[in-house]
Amino acid sequence: MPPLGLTDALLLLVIGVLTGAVGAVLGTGGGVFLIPILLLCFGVPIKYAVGTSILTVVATSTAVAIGNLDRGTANMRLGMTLEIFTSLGALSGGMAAAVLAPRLLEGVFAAVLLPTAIVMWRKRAGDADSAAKAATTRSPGTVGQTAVGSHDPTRGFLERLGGEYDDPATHQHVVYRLHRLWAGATISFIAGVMSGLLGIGGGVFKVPALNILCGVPIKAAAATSTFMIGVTAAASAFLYFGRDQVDPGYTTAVVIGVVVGSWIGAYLNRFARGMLIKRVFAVLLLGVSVEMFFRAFSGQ
Amino acid sequence: MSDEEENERLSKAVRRTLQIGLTAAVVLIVVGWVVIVTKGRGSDAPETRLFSRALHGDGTAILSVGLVLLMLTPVARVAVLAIGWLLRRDFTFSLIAFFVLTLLGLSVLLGTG
Repeated sequence: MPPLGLTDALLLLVIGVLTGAVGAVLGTGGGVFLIPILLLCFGVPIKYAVGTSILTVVATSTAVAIGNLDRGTANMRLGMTLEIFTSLGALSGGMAAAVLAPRLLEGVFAAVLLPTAIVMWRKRAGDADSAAKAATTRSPGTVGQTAVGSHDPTRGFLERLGGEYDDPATHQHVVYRLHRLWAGATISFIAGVMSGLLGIGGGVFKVPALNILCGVPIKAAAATSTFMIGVTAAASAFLYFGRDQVDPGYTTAVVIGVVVGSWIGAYLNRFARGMLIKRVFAVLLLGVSVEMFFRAFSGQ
Repeated sequence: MSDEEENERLSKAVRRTLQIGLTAAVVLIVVGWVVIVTKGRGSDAPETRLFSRALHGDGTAILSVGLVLLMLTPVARVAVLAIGWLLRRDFTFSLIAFFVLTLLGLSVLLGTG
């Protein structure tokens, strides 16, 4: 692990700000950008890069979750239920990372970047359609006490995993039911393993799965995924911390940067033209993926 | 109290927990950096004395305590929901939250043990 000078610390702070801002605009935790930067630009070994990233993911998801809870889009019951599976996955992934060869981890990371780039490229365009298909909408005030997900012990467990929220963009009250809990649980476990193994949030797997397979509207799926990610990341963060793979200097510089960056990004989000930015970064991720594959296979 | 009001209260408690945890962690990290820049890095004593080193003004140890606090913030959020649902006699989801809390406890044990 290269020792961290004050200049590098300031540089990492700036990188953190950029990662946080870009992450907030693109709707990712930023781990997919941070790990390649630490690895390729700072020469940080992958297991330390993952340790730094997983702490950063805890920070961003906490910062973003505070805002989402304000708007009531995160489904806490569904999130907590799926956290069983993400935490189990994160524990398995975090323990496996200790024994796996760094080159193998780099290869897996490169492989995960590919679907991430594709999801990023296609995002936004499909958002409105899938939300409309997945949920029924009502005008505000018509739901009352019999709302989906409300506390009534006589109703079924699955029924209580549904939810509702007000969508400020369409001025509608969206009510949805959960379908295929097993699919959500399976994907959550896989996302947890990837999170523990690679130091990413895993939202790239969960959000499309919750939306397409489980019928959760995209906004609720994204908010619930972010809500869950803090716990998922914490589950493996303790393992990395215990193995001394979280360098306090590197990690805190990035964490502070990312928290500030995610505030800036949330502000920029109101003005940014999402589609073009997403496509630029999708191409960038594709390039990083190729570079990482090359690195993993050549061992350089 | 209606169900919607109760949900609102619970989500407020969760938000407050996250805000307090994140703010405290960020403050400690900033203090740690100020100490390092003004007084230097401090000693490289073993991790087990982390908290006493932090109390004695060791910058790196203060940074680490900030990171520990950051990791504990989501754990505290699970605990708040577990207790909140228990108080509302929503036993199914309280049990689920306590189970998640157990898994996180296992992670802490594996990490520090």
